[in-house]
Amino acid sequence: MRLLLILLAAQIVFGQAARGGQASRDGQSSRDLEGVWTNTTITPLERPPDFAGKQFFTPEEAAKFERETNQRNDADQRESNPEADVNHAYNQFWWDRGTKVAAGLRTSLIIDPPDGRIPPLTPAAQKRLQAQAAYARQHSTDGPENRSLMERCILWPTAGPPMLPSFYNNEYEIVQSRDSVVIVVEMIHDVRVIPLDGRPHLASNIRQWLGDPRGHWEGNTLVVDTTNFTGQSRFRGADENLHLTERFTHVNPDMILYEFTVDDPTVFTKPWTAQVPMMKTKSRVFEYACHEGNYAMVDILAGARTAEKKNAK
Amino acid sequence: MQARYAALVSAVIFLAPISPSAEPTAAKSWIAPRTPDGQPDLQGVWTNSTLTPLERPAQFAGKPVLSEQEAADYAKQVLQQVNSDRRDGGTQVDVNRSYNEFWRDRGNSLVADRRTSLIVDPPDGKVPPLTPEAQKRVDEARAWMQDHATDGPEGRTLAERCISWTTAGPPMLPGPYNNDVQILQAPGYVVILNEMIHDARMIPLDGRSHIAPGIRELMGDSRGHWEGDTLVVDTTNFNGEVSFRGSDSNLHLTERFTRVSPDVIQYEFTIDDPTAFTKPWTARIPLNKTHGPVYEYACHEGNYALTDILAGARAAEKSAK
Repeated sequence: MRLLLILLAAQIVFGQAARGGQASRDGQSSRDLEGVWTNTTITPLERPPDFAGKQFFTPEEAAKFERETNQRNDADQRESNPEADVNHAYNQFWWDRGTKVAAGLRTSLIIDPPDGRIPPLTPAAQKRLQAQAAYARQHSTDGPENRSLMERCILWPTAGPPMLPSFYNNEYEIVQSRDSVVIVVEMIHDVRVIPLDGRPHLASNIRQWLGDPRGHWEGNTLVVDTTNFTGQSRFRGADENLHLTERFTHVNPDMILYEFTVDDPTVFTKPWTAQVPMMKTKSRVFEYACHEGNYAMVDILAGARTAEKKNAK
Repeated sequence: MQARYAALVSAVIFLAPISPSAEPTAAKSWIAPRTPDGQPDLQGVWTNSTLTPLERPAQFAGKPVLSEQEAADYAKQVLQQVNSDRRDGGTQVDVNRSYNEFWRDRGNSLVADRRTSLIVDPPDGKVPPLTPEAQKRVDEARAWMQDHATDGPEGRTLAERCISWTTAGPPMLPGPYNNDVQILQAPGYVVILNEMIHDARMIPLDGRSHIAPGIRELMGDSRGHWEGDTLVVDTTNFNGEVSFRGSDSNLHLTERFTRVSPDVIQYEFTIDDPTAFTKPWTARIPLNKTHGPVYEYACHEGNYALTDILAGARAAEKSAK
């Protein structure tokens, strides 16, 4: 009887937590991931060499790291060096990189391998990436196709999946129903609709920029399994064999612990995993204007054509 | 007497959904399924493909609804006209038809109630006249376009630039292909994902106010609420660059979604933009259940049209010398 009451009470508390959009304060997680979240942080994906062998900052090291990083990132500084100052014209007003290391004081977002670094590439992948990089160097201004997917407003490398903090627009809006979870990524207003109904992946010949996600619950963790990438998305060198596993756990009212594992045996010599806290924010997600009012692409190519003419004479 | 009356009523109910004059809510006997939190369930993948034009064609002036035979004849006529697999137009036209029927998905029939226009109000089935100022603005924009169509990418349409698709809306209209719309519902939200061009609208239902008037968006700012079993979505804060049939930034769009049968959502929208149109106007389009999934839309990828159009224009300029 007492056991039954406890179970019942637990269920009531739990049920309310799930409906109210709150994870309980005592560390119990809930299946409710709805809301707007931000993963803004200056903790780097990979551990900086200065912190080799050191998984966590001490509070003093964290403060120093924040001070130095924020100083370096400050686009409002004017160093009396015209070139640097012109590059800083895209000033602090536009940036939203955060000023703090992530909760938990890790020195890298990567938690596995333990050295906090992306594992070495396979020789084949290394060769492919070198050839691509060499081609890109020689042909970077041939035409719009040679510019990055980001400049072309097709895909943002940090918008993912997997999702990583970038220099601005780090907001994610999550809406969920029984059968689907929807994630709107502010950068660059891409939306992922993740079915939870157990349907199989798309046929292997259908390839998408954002891959093909399928979700399921493991306890109170939403596990999203994504395959069918195009291979052109190239997350950190990944190819079309990328198998991405993401885990979303609402660990406290203000935080989803987001973890992803990159498994791509033709590219990385072993799988690797990163953990990124996503914090509740009151921000709203607005439309992202990528091409609109942005003349960089035209100017880059026009500049290259002008330079060619000048050199030809 | 009693029995005959009942039989008559059931006949009316039975016939109502296919009767040309039937209002979308006529089939009162059918109750839409509910989501777990009790909202009418609009979820699934739907298509608005249809051959019915937005505006009533001149040939059907004064005739809002066709007979079955007329509808079949008209569908045949339209399919013949638009058929891009024909090779009977001379070289130039045939080349233009190389984007052939394989790519198209226009549907092959009129809307089920055989209306001659998607517009149901005004009764003439036409977009009302523009105000004189709007007409002037539209004419000037068109004249500018004619002179500057190939100056640079900015001179091309928003659709060619993969920024916004005219039929993806809001409001949503049938286009030549990718007419699929996925609707998802969660407590407090409706999400509408339009295959064209993979834009998603997150529509809050919690009664929050619109964003400040200083913030303008290509797709506007949508707020939803339920009126009975109808989802009503109210959208303002358009930026005016997406000029829907001449609309400007004052466009106030009202969309109504009513699931009238297992396989149909009746979608209705009203355009109210007093600085652009001389009166509001309303269109009604059935969204028919279809099989998913909705795939990613590739717009720029592998598409060399924009580059080729501009390169062609530059080559023409050079050869004119």
